[in-house]
Amino acid sequence: MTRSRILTTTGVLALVGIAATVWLGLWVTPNAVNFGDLVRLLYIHPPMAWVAFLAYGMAFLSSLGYLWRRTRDPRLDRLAGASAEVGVVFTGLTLITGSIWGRPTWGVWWTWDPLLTTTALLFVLYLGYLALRRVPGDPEVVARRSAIAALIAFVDVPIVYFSVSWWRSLHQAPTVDLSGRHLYVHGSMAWTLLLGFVSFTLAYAWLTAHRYRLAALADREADEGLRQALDERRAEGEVLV
Amino acid sequence: MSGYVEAGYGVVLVSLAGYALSVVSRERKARRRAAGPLLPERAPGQQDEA
Repeated sequence: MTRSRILTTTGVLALVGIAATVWLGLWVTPNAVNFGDLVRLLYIHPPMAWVAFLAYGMAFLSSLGYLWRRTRDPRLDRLAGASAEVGVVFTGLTLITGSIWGRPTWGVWWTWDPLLTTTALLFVLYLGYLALRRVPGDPEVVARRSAIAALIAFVDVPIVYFSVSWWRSLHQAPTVDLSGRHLYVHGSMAWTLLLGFVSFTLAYAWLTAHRYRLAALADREADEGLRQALDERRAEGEVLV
Repeated sequence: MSGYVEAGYGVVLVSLAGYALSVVSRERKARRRAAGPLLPERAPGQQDEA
């Protein structure tokens, strides 16, 4: 199977998975005793947050790989940038869906709760990271400083995850408790949640791969432009001599 | 349903679809540029067509 075909298959599976999650989430699964129909936001909100963590984890590992001399490769820098951008999209959606949940549940669209605040900080940190990547300079220097920024920004990820246990929070404990290996939903609700996690993870892979290819093309174009400009300068020099 | 749920699903689906379309269309444009010359070549003295 060629890479292109794998990517297309991933995209199709993500699309089908998301469509099925929406169908199950909106029309098949039951309402919850405590939250009524708001529980349906559960099938999209935690998967958004998970994908954001995954994306930043990937950006962290790629940046670490880039900073280590033995594995230094511009492809790792590109992967870090692509993954972080997708992560920012998913963090934005985590904040929005959380806010939509918060209004009817807590009575406010936003509150300076530890989890919400650290998540907003995460969003701003990675926006800063993406802005830093756009600051012009020698490609190697840009890649190195971006990699350092990605490592620093990642410090906030475990703080976000553990904030509900470290501080008193309005936000309920995670639906999927990784430390206690416990799932707080069952039956069709659990399967729909699982499908949401898988589908949005596939969507992340598909989006990151396309964003990576776009970055690779942009780099090639910049190299080509630079080479052309140098050739023109050389030709001008020859005419003058 | 309360309207909040639909709003949540709507925001997620529209945003992801919009972002995906933007990435794919930018990639296609970049691929097209990479396949051809950066600027169309002109014969000496050739003017822009009206």
